[in-house]
Amino acid sequence: MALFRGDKRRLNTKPLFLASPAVLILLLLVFLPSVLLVLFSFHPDAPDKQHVWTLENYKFVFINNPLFYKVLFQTILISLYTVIISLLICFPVAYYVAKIARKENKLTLILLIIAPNMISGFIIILSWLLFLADYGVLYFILKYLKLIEGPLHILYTGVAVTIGLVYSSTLWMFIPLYAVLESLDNSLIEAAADLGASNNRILLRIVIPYSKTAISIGCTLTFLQALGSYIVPRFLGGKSGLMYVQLVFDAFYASYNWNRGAVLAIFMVVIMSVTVFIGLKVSGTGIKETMTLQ
Amino acid sequence: MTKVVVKVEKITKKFGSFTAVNDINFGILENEFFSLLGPSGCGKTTILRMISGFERPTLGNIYIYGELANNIPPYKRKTNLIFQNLALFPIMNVYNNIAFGLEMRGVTKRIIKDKVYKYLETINLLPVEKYARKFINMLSGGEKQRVAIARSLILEPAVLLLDEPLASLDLKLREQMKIELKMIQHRVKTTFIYVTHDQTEAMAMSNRIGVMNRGELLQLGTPEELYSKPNCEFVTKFIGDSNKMSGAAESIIDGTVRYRFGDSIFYARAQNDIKVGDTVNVYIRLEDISISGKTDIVKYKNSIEARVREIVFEGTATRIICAYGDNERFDALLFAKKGKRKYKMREKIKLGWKTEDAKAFRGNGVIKNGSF
Repeated sequence: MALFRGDKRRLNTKPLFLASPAVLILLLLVFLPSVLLVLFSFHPDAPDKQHVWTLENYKFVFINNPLFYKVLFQTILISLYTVIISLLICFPVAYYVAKIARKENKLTLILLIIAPNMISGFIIILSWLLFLADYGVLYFILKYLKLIEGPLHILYTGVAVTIGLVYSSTLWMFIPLYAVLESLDNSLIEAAADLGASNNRILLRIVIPYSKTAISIGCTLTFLQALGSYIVPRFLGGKSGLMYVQLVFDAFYASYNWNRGAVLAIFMVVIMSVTVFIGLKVSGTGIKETMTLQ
Repeated sequence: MTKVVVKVEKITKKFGSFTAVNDINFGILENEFFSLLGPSGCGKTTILRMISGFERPTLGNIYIYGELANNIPPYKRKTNLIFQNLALFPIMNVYNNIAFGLEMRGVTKRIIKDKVYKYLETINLLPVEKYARKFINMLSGGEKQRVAIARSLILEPAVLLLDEPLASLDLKLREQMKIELKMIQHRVKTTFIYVTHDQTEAMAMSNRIGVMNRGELLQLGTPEELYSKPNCEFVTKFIGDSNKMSGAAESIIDGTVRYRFGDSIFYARAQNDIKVGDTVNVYIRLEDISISGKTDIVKYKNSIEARVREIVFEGTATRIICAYGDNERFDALLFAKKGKRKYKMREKIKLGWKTEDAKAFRGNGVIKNGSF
């Protein structure tokens, strides 16, 4: 529904009226707290000085804090790894479920893929703890296969965090990929084969270009999911798997410096907005189209 | 002598316990426009998919230019298939769609460009430069059709296979594309195998037609042969538009069956082995039926008196739908030029036909008092 009807560019008030409850809730619960957060970030960290305006918090975060850049870089890197690994795992799986699996098995397969998301994320993390621990389940499996000798050193590193994030973000990558591959007409694949394309060529020239939008949407969602995760790095990460949200959390709840925490939180919103923007750009869906709901 | 391009030898295809195609033989000649005609589910598409290599025959062999093709994958066959939904690549423009096959064969860019433009001209998408850049969703139904044809023809296949490509077009466009397809075939001199359920399409375009039903090939011949000398009840029913009467055979003399329908006696030519007492199904083509008013004397051996129930104007002819006897339907055609007198609804008219125009087949069903 367009806000402007016809050529006269007169404001059509009906959609605005219909959207008003949602807009109100958004204003109260999202916009207002964000404004407060921005205001916080410009005040010094002292209850009695909340009328003083300062750039001290920004200076501290961006200039005097080497940990900030280290963690930021590490967070983006882990999130990128998560996206790439998740894509490499989910694309073939989605292709199998959508195109190769028999019709009567599809529902079961989809349920199996979604199932982990029905359990509390915290319990999943605990099982990963047991699995990845230095003398955990994976250690015994690898030892039995005579692949390693000493203890594993995966837990409390970035590797463990990446594994946990890949596992917990499967759904975000799988669903868009599955949906687009299901919509891909089999006859397009057959036609390409009929015209002389080998399987690799069909994948590169037909299947992947066709799924472009879904791939970029899946990657964007997975990236955001990884970027904003707290539980996974908190329990699997330790010191060498520190991620950005932990910094925010610590500022608010460990050092009780809400003003500095506000700066970190605002910067995170900026990174996420940029990610969404790039994602939409790549998928070929402009902000304008998304907003006008065509 | 004309060469046999595709030879299908004792082909059977089973899907589980279902036999889609049962022991079929035929050969297709060079530059022929060959149609497989039959109702949906008769196995015609399965045959096409076996010739193109997407399905493997359960039994029997397929030869393309004398070479056994059973184990050759689709992309190595000299056949190209035009899919029912055309299967044009929505992510590419017209140029890249048509160029796709040549690119896959590693042809150089310059040759590809020349050829694509040449084929865009062949299929009459002008101006070429404008159409080359268009995306598939910007084309009309007929244009998509032509792009699909060009995409396959550019590979110069020995055989072009077409799977009901006109089914999705509206009537006017379908009529136009029928002629266009025939003209393209003449221009490029390629063998076409065309699958359709539409008898008028098959009749209009084909050199020869194979009529199929339930996995069997019933009759193979030119459109004229099928029309004038159908060899079985199904072909008689399927080709052309007929009235059907069912009755009990009372006598058979020199191939002429006398049968009873309602209270009257009629005559028809026996097409297969009919014995006295058998149920017979008799088919009479609409165009073989003469109509006259109540007062006229019908000079034909078979005649009925019926009431006009509906008059349907069909352009070249007017269809008169009559009710006869116990509210049985009987249709006749009135050609515009000859239609000097107008018939009125509920008017009583006489319909008559020659014995040799009525074809009788032995039926196996029980008749319900002369039902149609």
